[in-house]
Amino acid sequence: MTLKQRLGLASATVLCMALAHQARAQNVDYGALEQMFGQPVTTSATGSPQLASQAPADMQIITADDIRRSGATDIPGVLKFTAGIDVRTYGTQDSEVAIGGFSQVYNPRLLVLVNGRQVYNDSYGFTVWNALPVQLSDIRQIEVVQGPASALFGFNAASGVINIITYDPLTDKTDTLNVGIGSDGTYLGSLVATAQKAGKAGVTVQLGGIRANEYSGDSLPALNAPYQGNADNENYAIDGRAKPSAHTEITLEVTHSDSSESSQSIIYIPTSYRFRTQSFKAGFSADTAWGLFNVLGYLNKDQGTSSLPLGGTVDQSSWNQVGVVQANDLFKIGTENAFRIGVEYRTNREWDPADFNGSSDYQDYAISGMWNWQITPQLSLTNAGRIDRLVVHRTSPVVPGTPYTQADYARTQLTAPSFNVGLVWEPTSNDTFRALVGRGVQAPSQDELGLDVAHPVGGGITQITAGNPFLQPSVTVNYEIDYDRVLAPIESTLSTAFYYSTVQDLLTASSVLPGTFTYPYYVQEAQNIGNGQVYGTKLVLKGSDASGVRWNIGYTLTAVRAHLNIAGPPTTPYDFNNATPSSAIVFGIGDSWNKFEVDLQGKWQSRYTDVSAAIGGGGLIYEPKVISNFVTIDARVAYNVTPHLVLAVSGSQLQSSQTIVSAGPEVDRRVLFTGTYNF
Amino acid sequence: MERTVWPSAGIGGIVRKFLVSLFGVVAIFIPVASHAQVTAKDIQVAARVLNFTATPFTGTVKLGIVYDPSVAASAADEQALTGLLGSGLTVGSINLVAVPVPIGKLSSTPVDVLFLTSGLGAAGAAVGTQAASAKTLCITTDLSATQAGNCAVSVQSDPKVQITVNKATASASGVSFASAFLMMVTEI
Repeated sequence: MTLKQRLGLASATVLCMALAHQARAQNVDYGALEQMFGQPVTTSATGSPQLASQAPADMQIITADDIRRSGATDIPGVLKFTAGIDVRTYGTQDSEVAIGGFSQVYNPRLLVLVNGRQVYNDSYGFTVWNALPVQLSDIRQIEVVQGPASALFGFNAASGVINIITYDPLTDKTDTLNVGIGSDGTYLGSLVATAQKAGKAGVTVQLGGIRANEYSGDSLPALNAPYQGNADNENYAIDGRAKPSAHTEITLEVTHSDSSESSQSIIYIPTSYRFRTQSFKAGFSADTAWGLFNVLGYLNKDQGTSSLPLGGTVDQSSWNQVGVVQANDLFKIGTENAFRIGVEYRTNREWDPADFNGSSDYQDYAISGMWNWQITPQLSLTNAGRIDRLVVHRTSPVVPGTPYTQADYARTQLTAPSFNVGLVWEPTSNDTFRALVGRGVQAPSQDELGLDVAHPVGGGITQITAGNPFLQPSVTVNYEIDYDRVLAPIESTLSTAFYYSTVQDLLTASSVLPGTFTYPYYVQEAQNIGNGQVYGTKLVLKGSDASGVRWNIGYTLTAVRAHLNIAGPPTTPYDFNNATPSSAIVFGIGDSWNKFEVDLQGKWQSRYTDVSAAIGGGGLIYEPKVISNFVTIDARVAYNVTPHLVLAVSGSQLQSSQTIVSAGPEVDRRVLFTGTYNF
Repeated sequence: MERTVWPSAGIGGIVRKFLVSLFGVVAIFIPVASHAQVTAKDIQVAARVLNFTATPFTGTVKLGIVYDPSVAASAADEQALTGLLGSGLTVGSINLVAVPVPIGKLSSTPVDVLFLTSGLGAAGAAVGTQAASAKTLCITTDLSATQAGNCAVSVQSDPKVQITVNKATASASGVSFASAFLMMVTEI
């Protein structure tokens, strides 16, 4: 740590102490606010607590009830029945999740967080869903934001954000033991236990794991041998929060996960993948005379190891470490204007003696602000902005044959502004209109900026795979009009969204595109590959009645028009115009009566084109694979034996014994029996 | 529907007038909700508000239901509230106990929180005065009473929850709220 950084840390500490002295009330209490307003509360739109229905964002909240009733065993299993979310399944525990088009493996355009901590991995810019250290039974809600949100969350919230919010050990007491056994060798278990002195201190310990056979994949060629054996994960998290005074709060969290799965690699070759994570988080908040002040710091340490069947097994490992310190203050001036100001420092290091010839480091410095103007009680205008300054510090020498010099890498600097503007108008208690404009930024991943690896391939030829220090960040600008209407006669809410997005400077990883050959080097590198537009519509009707019956139906239209400066398949894997289903319908119905809880959820999606890769012609050949339209139906039946004990049976992909949903193996129908004890 | 009159000032005022006019024209064509009477849901919301004062209320809270027996709406509210609270209504960590307070006995009845019934009109000013002198939080379902500065907080739960805080009245009553709470309510 430099002297400047030490001084900054010391100043922040002194400021925290000063603010704590003047503090006067509590932090955001999701549970109490939700109980008071009768609907979910979120901070994912502006950083300020808001009713989800009034937030200046296209937002959907998946509640704890929704999660339980889904019968899903992982988060993509919950998300796949949410309108506007495209989930591709490649393995028992491997899924890709995309919002707003440009679906692809290792999707880098969606930011995923757990309680505000990034769980998105910067190595390639993707999320390993199997490695998230969170139990479904400890999730209060999943907040899904469609559209750019970089003005609040920074890089990679380009097409959307998924923020997973767990229960608060200070105010929520979650004590649950869940065990399950199912078809195809499925075993799972989780424990969530909370010790608390209500309102003073609380600790939640959660641990769990799952093990299941990979899908059988009868149609896959021998190349896809990694799709054999088991997928599993084990993880734990300890979340402690305390109130040293009635007005201040401290958060400490430690997490760990270890997962193994068969997955689709970034070059569309199946791989056996092991991913291990650790994280440490500390936070302090105080409600002061100057507003609600928060400071948060966390450290993520991820290690990924893949085994690729490229004419023999090629093992690759890489380590990524992200450290983040962020501080913000949320305050009101007068009665109509709320503001948030924030600063963030982020350090990111990727190292692998093979792939990075040492390490690649960058630092990001950001300032952000938000202004919410309550123009009238029915009309509000929110403006949020952020500027990121990313500076690469690479000290490792480049390998011979790399087209860039060490100085090229060292002087890489990116300045990226982002913003969100939202006008929300509620002319009546039943109607809400939103007009939204947002600019989101996807930063190049560590692979795209700093990878530098040499592989001898025989004949005196060396293959060079290099990050590109001259890449531009990819920028998404989204224009959207939303209208929500409460339909009291049918006890439902209709939500509609119409959007148009432009995407500039799409990014691709260093190892995906074909290279150039200048003896003795064959050089592949990351590139900006072009631009695109997305036109989309989302219509959702959701309701329930007092008797316990609930229903939902949603339609999503997504039309992508990409203008790439590279060829499509078989030369590259990119066929964005056809990579996202143009239409999808989700539907669900459920009922709770006496001791039973019964739910059925389904999804139909139109055909799309996925890609699988094969070795041939001296390199990779990307073969388009048209995935015909298909239906997915999941269901769950639960019986409350006692107020504490619930037995349930759930099934996934019930419509068919095997369904082709991607270029990966067919997804098998599976049945799971679970027992849940709430103590 | 009640609409606040906003002072204009400079460019901000012009922009505000434009936006209000634009959306006001459209609002004419959209039906508005009618005012709801005090309900069990209202009192649940009112009780939750007590969790967000600078020093949150806990345990037994004596809720002084201020009413005028000669005003039908006020007396009806008192009857309804007393019935809803019964021998005590538990909401979270709070047990609300009803204490009927005829407006003539306002200053002689010690309570923890005042609840102003509807229909008191100008007579409600006495409640504002009492809340200020006794440094006591006042809650009502009568938005006009909060707008008039007679009561610090107004709650409405139908068709959706709306909470209005009169900043000056709350301050005069020695009441402050958590910042997170104030971000989610309408302050006037």
